[in-house]
Amino acid sequence: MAKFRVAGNTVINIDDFTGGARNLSSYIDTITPGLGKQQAVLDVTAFADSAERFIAGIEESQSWTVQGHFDDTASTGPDAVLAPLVGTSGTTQFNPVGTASGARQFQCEAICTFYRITGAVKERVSFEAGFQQDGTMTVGTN
Amino acid sequence: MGKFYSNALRLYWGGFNPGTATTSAALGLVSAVVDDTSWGDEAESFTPTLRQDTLTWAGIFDDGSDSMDAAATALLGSSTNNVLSFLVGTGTGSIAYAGTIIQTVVRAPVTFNELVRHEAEFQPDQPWDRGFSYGEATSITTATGSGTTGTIDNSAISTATAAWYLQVTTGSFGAGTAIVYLQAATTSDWIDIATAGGINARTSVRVLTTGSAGTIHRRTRMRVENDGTSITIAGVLSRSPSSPT
Repeated sequence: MAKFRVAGNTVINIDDFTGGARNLSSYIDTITPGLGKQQAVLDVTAFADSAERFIAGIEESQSWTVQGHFDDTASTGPDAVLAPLVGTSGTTQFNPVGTASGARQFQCEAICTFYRITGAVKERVSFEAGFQQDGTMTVGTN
Repeated sequence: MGKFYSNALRLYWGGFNPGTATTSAALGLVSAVVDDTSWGDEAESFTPTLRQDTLTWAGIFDDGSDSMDAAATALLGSSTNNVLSFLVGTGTGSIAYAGTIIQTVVRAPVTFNELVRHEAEFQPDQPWDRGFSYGEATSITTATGSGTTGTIDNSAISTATAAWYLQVTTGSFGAGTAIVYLQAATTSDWIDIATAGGINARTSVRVLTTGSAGTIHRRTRMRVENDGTSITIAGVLSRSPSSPT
C-alpha cells in the first residue's frame, strides 16, 4: 500500500473548446470539494422495518471548482483554455495519484459554469473555474 | 507569458482609471445550467442556458478625478459611455477582457480607526469579450486635420470579425473628433472599416468591425480625425477575439 503527496502526482485534463484535452496540472493547485462519484439514495422505510431502509437512486451530478494562479500562456494556459469553455460541455479527466498504469482515474462530461479572475492587493492574480457533471462518472484506471 | 502579481491588473471604466485605489476585483464569466434529467437517464443531466457574467470591485475611497467616486458620479446607472476594460498586464498583447456594463451600487463602508473603504457592484449587459490589449498607454498625436497613427498591429494573421474597445482617459479635443479603425492585407492597402465619433476625454467606445470578405486582417491602425485642433489622446485599446491559436 502506498500514500501519495499531491504535488508532482495529481493530473487533471480538461477539454478545450476544440475538444482537445489540455493538461492544466501546471496551473491548478486546488480542486474543491474534490472529484469522485456520488449516488442518491431513496428512503423506503416501512412500518415493519426496525431500522431505516434505503435503495440506490440515480447517480448524482457533482459540482466542483478548480483554482490556481492566472497564466496568460496562449492555447494551453488556463485563461486560454477555460475562458472560452463557459457554457459548454467537455471531458474532464482527473488522476488523483498520477497516471501510472493501474492508477485511479475519474472521467466525465461536465459543463463549465463559470470562469473567474481575481486580484487582491499583495496577492497573486488567480483564477477559478466551476464545473457541473453532466451524465455518468466513469471510475476506472489508467 | 506567465504568472502575475496583482499590481499587473488594470481596470478602466468609461474612460476613468480607478485602479490606483483598488484593493480587490473579480471578473467572472458565468453560465446558468438547467436540470434536464429524464426517466431514461442513469445520471443527472444538465444543459447550459444564459450567460450571467459578473464583476465586483473594492478599494479605498479616493476623491481624485480618476477615482471610482468620480466615475460613479458620472456613470452610476448609465447605459452610455459604459465600456469596462479589465487588463492582466500592461504591455502589448496582454490579456484584456472588455464589455459594456452598468454600475448598480456604490457604497462607502466606514469603520472607526480604519480607512474609508469603497465598494461597487456592476451588472454586465453582454458576455465579457476576451481579447488582447495594445498596451496601457496608446498615444495618438495629430496636427490640424486628419492624422494617421503608426501601425498598431502588423501581423499578417487574419481573423473573422472583431470588437474594439477604446478607453480615452485624457487629451484635448475638437468638437468633431472621431476615431477611425483601418485594416490592411499588406502594408500599403489600408482601408477604413469603422468610425467612432464623439470622442472626448473620459470616453469609452465599443466598435464592431467586419471585413468586406467576412474576415478582418490583423494588420490594423487607428486614425484620429479632428476639426482643426491639434489633439493628443492617451488611453487603452483592446481587441477581441484574442490572438488566433
